[in-house]
Amino acid sequence: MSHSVTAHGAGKLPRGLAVGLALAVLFSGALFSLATGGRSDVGLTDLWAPEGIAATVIYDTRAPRMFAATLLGLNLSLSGLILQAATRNPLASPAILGLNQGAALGLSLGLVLPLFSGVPLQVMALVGAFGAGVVTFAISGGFTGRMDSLRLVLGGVAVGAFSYAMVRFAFTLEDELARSVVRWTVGDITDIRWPAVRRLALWGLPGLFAALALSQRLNLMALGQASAQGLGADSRITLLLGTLIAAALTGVSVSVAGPIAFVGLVVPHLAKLLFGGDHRILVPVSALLGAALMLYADGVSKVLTAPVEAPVGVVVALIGAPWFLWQTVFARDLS
Amino acid sequence: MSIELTDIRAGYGGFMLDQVTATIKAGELTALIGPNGCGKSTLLKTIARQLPLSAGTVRISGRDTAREPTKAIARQVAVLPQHPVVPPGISVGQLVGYGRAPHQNLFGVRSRTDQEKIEAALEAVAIADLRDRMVSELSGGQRQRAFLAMCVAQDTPYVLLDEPTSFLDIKYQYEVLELTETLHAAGKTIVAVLHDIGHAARFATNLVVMKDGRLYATGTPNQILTPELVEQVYGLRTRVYADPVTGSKMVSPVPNMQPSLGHETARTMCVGLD
Repeated sequence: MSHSVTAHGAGKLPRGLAVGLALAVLFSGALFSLATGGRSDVGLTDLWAPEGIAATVIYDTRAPRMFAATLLGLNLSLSGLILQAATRNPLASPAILGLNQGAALGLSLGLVLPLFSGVPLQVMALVGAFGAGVVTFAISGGFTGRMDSLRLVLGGVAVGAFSYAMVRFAFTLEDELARSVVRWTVGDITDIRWPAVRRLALWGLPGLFAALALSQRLNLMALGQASAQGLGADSRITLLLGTLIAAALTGVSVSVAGPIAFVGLVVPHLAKLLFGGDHRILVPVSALLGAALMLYADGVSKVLTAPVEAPVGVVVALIGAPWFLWQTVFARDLS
Repeated sequence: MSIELTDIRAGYGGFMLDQVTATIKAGELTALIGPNGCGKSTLLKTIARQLPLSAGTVRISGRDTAREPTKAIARQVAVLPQHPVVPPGISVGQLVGYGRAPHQNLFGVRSRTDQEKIEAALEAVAIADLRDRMVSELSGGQRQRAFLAMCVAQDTPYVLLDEPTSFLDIKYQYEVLELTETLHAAGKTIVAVLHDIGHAARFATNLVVMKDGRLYATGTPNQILTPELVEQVYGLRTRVYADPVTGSKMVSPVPNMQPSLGHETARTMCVGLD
């Protein structure tokens, strides 16, 4: 363990410089996202364009998409960070624990069942994600204070598979639904407009503050359930609060863009590699890095197969999977 | 000011503590001893409210722990679990700082007092020079001292230690036990689960002996530690003698445990050894 990357990486960079670098990466990602798109004749020089097609492209298509990518990255990486800490499992992420799929199931039920017709879709997504999380954690024994990590992952896989099966079932009921449902199984942000951005911000920003408020509890959780309890932070409460916040962040994200995997898994590990194990620092840093990753993925998705766009979820997986593999193989201290 | 246990029933699924009633007086260094599975760790976890009670009450300084918030208990009782989890990417200084969590707000902002207590704890356990090292890089003995420092920083009147010497070599075992003694001398009430009867007799001022989920005996090591007690509780025939260094009681098993050898034979062998 003496070569653990986490240990050496932590604190190597002066904190101010590191945060500055992360901000610079975020900002350049935002510019990249703004600069690219179907109309290659529209670029950053049109940011101050007067009325006209260029201005419309920038303000009605690319800007909302840029903000959506930022907020999605923030939401998903925080969700993953919280889940990893609350379950003390480096594999935990909204996708692996079934929260993504639960959110998609909530959305499908909201569309299919007339009973839920009055409920806003993002609320259905939150309820679905939270329900999936609670079932997974109950299966793993998390609420008795003795969580089993193998049962956690197996439970998450089972809950996720069941939820997806139900989504697909809803999908076969009505052809009309199929089109809106399929997007919740892919991860796509091509046609996002301002209302979706507002929804993301409305849930994501309070979620960020809630995550900050939970961060010291997450630190204590890293010492194990017994020590956390001994220091005054009941692990079951931490788990419940964490699930609630993660479900809200995941739910609204899935309702807007579908399940984008890997952001929630990869970004927290990258943040820990660079900044150590203190969640009071990891929360803001993961939010920053998650946003940056999504912005670059958005830019790449528009350039990669131009003029056709690749779904951003696919691009994130293309970046995230090799990175995760690299970290698994070479940086053994994953958790 | 004491820990009072009244008619406690508790434990995981099958195993239960059965009608345990005991008082652990303030100011004592109490060792919980007994064979594997006798319930000593379960009792410690029950006192720390890490296991729910099925019946009975635990009162710490007169207060029923079932009615206290977790954080309030954490200001009274510090716990060193049997297998503390080593947090990734955390330095010794940060770890010891977590000991202040029960005294802090939601965000764990350190006050001046917190800073002083952390420094004092690092000094007390003699790991001030390790403060910037990662906990994951420490040796077993250093790691145990770091966790002990976290308990010291918690600044509680009671400290519970669950087998603090397990997996340590003899030097570190004594180091941890001597630190425990120092904490006791500084006025803390300590309850430690110990495997080694000799350690218990040497360091504890009070023994609580358990068998099959029940309290078997309590008293000072000199009063209660006899070959009869050890045989009844552990099913092991031993001789008890004075440690040549400290004069505290030591236990040495009688070599031949074959059932075919009767009492007389064993006794003869004992004499032969004298």
